[in-house]
Amino acid sequence: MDRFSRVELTSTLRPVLNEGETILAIQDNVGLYDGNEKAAGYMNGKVYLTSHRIIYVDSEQPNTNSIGVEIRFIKGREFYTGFVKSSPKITLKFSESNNNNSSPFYHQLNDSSTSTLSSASSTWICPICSYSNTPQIFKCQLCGVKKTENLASITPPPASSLSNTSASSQQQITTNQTSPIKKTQGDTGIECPQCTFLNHPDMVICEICDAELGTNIKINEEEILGSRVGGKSKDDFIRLAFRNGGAGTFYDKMKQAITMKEWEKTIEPSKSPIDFDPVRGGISGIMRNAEENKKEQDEYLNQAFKDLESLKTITEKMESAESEEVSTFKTNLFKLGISNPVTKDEAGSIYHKELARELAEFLENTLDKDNGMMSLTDIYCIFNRARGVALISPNDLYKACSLFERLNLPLRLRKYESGLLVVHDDQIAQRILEYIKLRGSLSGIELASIEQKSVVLVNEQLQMVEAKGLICRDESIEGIRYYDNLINHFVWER
Amino acid sequence: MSNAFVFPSIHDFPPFYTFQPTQTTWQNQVALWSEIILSYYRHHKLYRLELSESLNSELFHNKGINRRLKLDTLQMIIDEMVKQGMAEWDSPPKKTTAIIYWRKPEEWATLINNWVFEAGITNSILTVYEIAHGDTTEGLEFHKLDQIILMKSLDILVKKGVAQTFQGTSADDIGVKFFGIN
Repeated sequence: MDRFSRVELTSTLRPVLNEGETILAIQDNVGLYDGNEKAAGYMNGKVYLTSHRIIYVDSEQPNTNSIGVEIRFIKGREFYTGFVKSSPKITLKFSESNNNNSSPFYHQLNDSSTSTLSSASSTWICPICSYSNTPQIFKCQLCGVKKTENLASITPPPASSLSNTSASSQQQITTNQTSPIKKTQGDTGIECPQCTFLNHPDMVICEICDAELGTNIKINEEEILGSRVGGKSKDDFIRLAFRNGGAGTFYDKMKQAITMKEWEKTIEPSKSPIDFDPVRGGISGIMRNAEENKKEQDEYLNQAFKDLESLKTITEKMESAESEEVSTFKTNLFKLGISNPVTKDEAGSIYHKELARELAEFLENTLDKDNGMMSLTDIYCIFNRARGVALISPNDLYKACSLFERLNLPLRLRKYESGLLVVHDDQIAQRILEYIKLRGSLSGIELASIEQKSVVLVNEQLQMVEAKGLICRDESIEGIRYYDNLINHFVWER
Repeated sequence: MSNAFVFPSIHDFPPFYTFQPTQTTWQNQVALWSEIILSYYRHHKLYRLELSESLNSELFHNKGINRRLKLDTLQMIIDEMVKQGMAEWDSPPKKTTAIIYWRKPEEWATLINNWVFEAGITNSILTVYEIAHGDTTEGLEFHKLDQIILMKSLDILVKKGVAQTFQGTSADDIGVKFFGIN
C-alpha cells in the first residue's frame, strides 16, 4: 500500500488524469486488500484502470479515501477466479527495491542490504520447530507457522560480509548484532491475561488455556491501518476484490496496459492555442475582424467582376477566406472536445453513471451560455460533436441524464408537459427564491420577463420549485402568484 | 363575541387561503388551519361549524388582504381534522356541518363527572337540560355545551358504568343518574 498516493478528483468525483493518460476500464464495487487483510476504509469503491495508473475511488468518502498506484511499480500479478462466497481477486505485487526506500523500519534493520539480499537465498529456520525451510515458502513446511519478517537477521550473515574488514562493515556487524537483541527483547512473549503463561509472540490463542491474546496484535494492526497511505505495510502486495464481477476483463486490460508501457512514451507537448491579444479581443475585436474581412471580400468582388480572367485567380483567395471561417468554427468545437470519452467497453455495467458524470463536467461550461438549460436534442448534438469518436445513442444519453439526481450532480433532467426533455442546472431554484425575497411575491409573467424566457417554460420551473416545497402559491382573480413558503416554517406561539 | 380573537400572522398570508398542491406544504397548511380553528372555537366557546356560512366569518374571510378560503378547501381541512379526532361531521356523508372538538367527549365526560362529585348530587336524577343550561352549571366550562357533544360524553359515562340514562319525552327531558363512582 505504500506505493499509493492520493488522487485528485474532479467535481463529479472522477479522477483527474494526467496528460496522455487514458481510461481503459472502470469497475465498481471493488474492495482493496492490503496483503491478506482487508483495508479499512477502502472496502467499496470504483477502480479505474488507466494507461498509467490503477486508481481507487471510494464510494463513501471519495474525497479522502481515493488513491492510485502507477502501473510501472507492478512487478507481478495473479488472478484468482473466486470460489463460492469469495469474490474474484487480482493480486498486484510490487518490486522489493522500492519498499526499502519508503520504509524507515526496513532501513534500520537491513542497513547492510547486501547481507539480507544474500541471506534471502539461504534457508530460514522456523522459530517454533527449528525446521529449515526453503526461502520460497512463507509458511513452515513442518508446523505451518508463518515466516517472520525479521527472520533474515537470524540467519547467519554470509562469509562475504564478515570477511569485509572496512570500518563500515564493522558497523554493519554491530547493527546486525543489535537488531536480534532488540528483537528478542520485544519477543519475550505475550503474557496470557488468563493464566499468565508467556506465549510465543506469533500465537493468537494461549497455548495453555485457549484464552485470546489479541491485544498486542490489534494495536499493531491499528498502527498499520493508520499509516495506510504512504506508510509501510507488512506484505508487498495488494489485492483487488471484485464483488460485482468484471475481474476477468479488468485483468486482461491490465495485462495490456502493462505490456503497452504507455508511461515510457514521451508526451508530445500539445500545441497551445493561439495567444490571446487583449487589444484585438472582445466584441470590438470580432467586429473589427469581420469588417476587415468584408472589406477584403468586397475588393475581391470588385476586381473579380472587372475581369473574368482575374476572377479565376481570385476565386482561390475567396475560397481560402471562407475555409478560414470553417476552420475557426472547427477549433471552437474542438475546444469543447472531450479528451477521454467514456465508452461501453471500458466502463461496462457502470457505463451510464460514468457517462452522466462526464456529461455533467462537459455541460458545466456549456450550459451557462444557454441560460442554464438546454433541450436534450441539443445536448445530444453538441455532446456527440464534442466526443468526436465513440458516439453515444440517444437512449444512452437519456439514461445518463436521468441519473443526475441520484448521483448528486448539479444538473436535472426534466420532462415538460409537452413532452420536451430539458436538462437544466440546479441554480434556477436559488434564483427564483432570490427574486421572491426581493419582491415579496412573483408571478409567472414577471419571472419570464426577468429571466427572458417563455412564460410556459417559466411556469414549469416555478411548479418544479413549488413541488420542492420552497415556494407556495396564491390563487386569486389576479392569477397565480408565488410566495416564499412561510407555511412550512410557521410556528404559532400563543 | 366578548373580546376579539388574535389571529396569528400566517392568517394574513395570501397563499394560506389557496390549496397548496405540494404535499408537505399542504400538510403544514392543514395543521395550521386546524390549530387556528380549534383556538378560535375555544376562545368563543363555539361547537358547530356551518361550512358555507362560516366562510363569511372573520375566521375564513380575511378582509384585510381580500382573501377567502374556498368551500372545498375547507371541507378537506375538516376531513383531515375528523381523521385526527379533532372534529366530526354532523350528519355524514353530507359535509355541510361539523362539530369541532376543541375538547374531546372523553374530556367533557370527566369534567361533568367531577362536577357531579363536587356538587354532591350523586345518586339523584338530573335532566340533560339541567346540565347544559341549568342555574347550577352557570359559569362552568360545559355550560351551554352542544347537545350532541353532551350526549356523546354521557354515553361514555354510561359505558363506563358511572351513570345511567332514562328516556324522556323529548331530548331535553332525558334523565341522568350518576352513581358517584369515579
